[in-house]
Amino acid sequence: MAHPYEQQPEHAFWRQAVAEPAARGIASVDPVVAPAFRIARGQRIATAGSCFAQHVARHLRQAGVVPFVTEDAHTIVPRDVARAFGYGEFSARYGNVYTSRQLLQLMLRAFGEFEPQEPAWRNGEGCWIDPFRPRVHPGGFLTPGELQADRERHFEAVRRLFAQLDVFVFTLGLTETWASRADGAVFPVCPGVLGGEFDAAQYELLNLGVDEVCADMATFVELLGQINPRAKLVLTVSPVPLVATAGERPVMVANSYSKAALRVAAEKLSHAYGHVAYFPSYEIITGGFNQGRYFAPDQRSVTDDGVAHVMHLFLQHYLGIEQSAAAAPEAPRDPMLARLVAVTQAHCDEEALAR
Amino acid sequence: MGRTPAANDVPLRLLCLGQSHFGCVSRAADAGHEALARAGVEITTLVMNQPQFDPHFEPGAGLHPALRDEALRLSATADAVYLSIGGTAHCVFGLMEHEQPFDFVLEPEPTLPLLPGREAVAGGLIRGALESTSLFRHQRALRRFLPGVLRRPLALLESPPPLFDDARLLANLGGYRRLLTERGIAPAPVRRKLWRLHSFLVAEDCAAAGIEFVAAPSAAQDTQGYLAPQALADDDPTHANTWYGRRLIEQMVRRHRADFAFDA
Repeated sequence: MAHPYEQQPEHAFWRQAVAEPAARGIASVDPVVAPAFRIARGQRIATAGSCFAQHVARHLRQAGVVPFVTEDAHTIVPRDVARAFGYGEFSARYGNVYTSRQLLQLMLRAFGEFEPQEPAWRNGEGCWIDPFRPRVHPGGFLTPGELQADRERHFEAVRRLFAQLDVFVFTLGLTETWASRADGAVFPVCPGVLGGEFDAAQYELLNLGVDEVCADMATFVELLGQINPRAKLVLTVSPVPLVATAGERPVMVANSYSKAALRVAAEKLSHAYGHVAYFPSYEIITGGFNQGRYFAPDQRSVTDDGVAHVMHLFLQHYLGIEQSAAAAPEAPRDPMLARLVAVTQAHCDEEALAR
Repeated sequence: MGRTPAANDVPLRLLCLGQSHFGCVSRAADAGHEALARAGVEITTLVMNQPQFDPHFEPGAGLHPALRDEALRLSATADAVYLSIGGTAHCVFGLMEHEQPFDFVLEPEPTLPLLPGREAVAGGLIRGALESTSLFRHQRALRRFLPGVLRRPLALLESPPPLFDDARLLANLGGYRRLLTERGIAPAPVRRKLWRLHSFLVAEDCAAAGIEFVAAPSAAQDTQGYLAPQALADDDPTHANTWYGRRLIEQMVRRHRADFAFDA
């Protein structure tokens, strides 16, 4: 009787799937093999997650695929300024969403199902920081009212995003998170770092377990299905190690736990739901086959080659794009502004000469 | 602020070094040269953006050599040096109505109301947009550059505020006529906020560069802080006229001679 391994395809064997392709060149290693589903051109692809997820939107654009964006800056704001203010990093201006709990609470907050008790933090300059996306507005909002108005626009964009997207690519980043003891609201950054004041009586460190990540994500998947029954998900795990741990274990050990828990959760979720896929960006970047070449000298940042390998496989398998198309040059956001600058310049030169 | 001659028999020499907003000072000084002479005041304007100095400043290369030499020569004998650098970058956003009409919280006056029916854009974004215009970046580089060249105490005059009267502005569009006819002009409160933001940023630059920032003369503003109606130049929505130039001269001279009155 033939044993089970005799029937296994090549990708089940390390030598054929990893060692031999790697010997030809590390970019030849392809752990994706077959996608769980295909994404058609024109479908609305939304992105969220930890910092590694920012690469997804960028590479989609470079490949000529326009990511689904529901929150953009006023057209008077040039693109580089808008980017510095968190527009275009992801499909809406939520900044990095590191944990399953943060993602779930984002949805609940946007739909009015959860209102955290802590509306705003002050920074050292007296401006106001949104505790739930503290990096999206450099310098902070000028007044609490300005923050609140921006948050309402943001929530409207998030509601539209979840209601209209076709595919949601989410990168699970962390298990550690700081939470309010009062209501369980989680923050992407520890209170006191970018705003607010740290108080151990007010805040606690959570280190989510596999079951908690699965429960958060399952609730999210169910809610998203109610809002948008056609939505599919692609889960990835960020290969970027923890910058720091607030726990007692060394950061390397804490990182190992965090990635393992997220990886297990992603696996369980992709088995539990037919419309949830796992994409192995974590394996591509951290796999020993590349001998650490996909990490920069800080042993944390992912190199451009690493990101390119991940995105090449994503585009190839999920979108059927073999070769990245040249990105179309970005048009000015407001062509009229350029005309006004020219007229103003000429006008001032004339005035300077007039006697 | 420079040397201050004690009596009218010792002339007070002021150098006004700058760009288009000193055009009105130049004209006012020409028109009132007899009165200024009687008062013992010499006003010299050196307008930087003239053809012989083109390009008058490049961030990597500095001032045009001829301009630099002339500025050094004139500033050496001046009792005080006044600057007017930029002052119209805000017009790029604030003169023409935008296709997505907007308003914003003004950093130095955050309690000013927002106009209803307009998109509220965060003040930080408007600040970033203004700072990123080529006009503003060029002018900022020049403000930072000049103190190192002139090596004199410098004061920079704020650009004139916008006019409140929309109808008057629409009747004096000058070179903006075609563009502004397409979309119309932004409401006065938004225009004023943009001017205030621009001045706030210029004042920040001045503080960092060791330049004294001098606010626009109150005598040339109405009670709401808009440009006095008699100060608008003909067929020019962004610059002030000779009357305003006289107010600037009064303002500058009174900083050295408190009793000066400019009777042109």
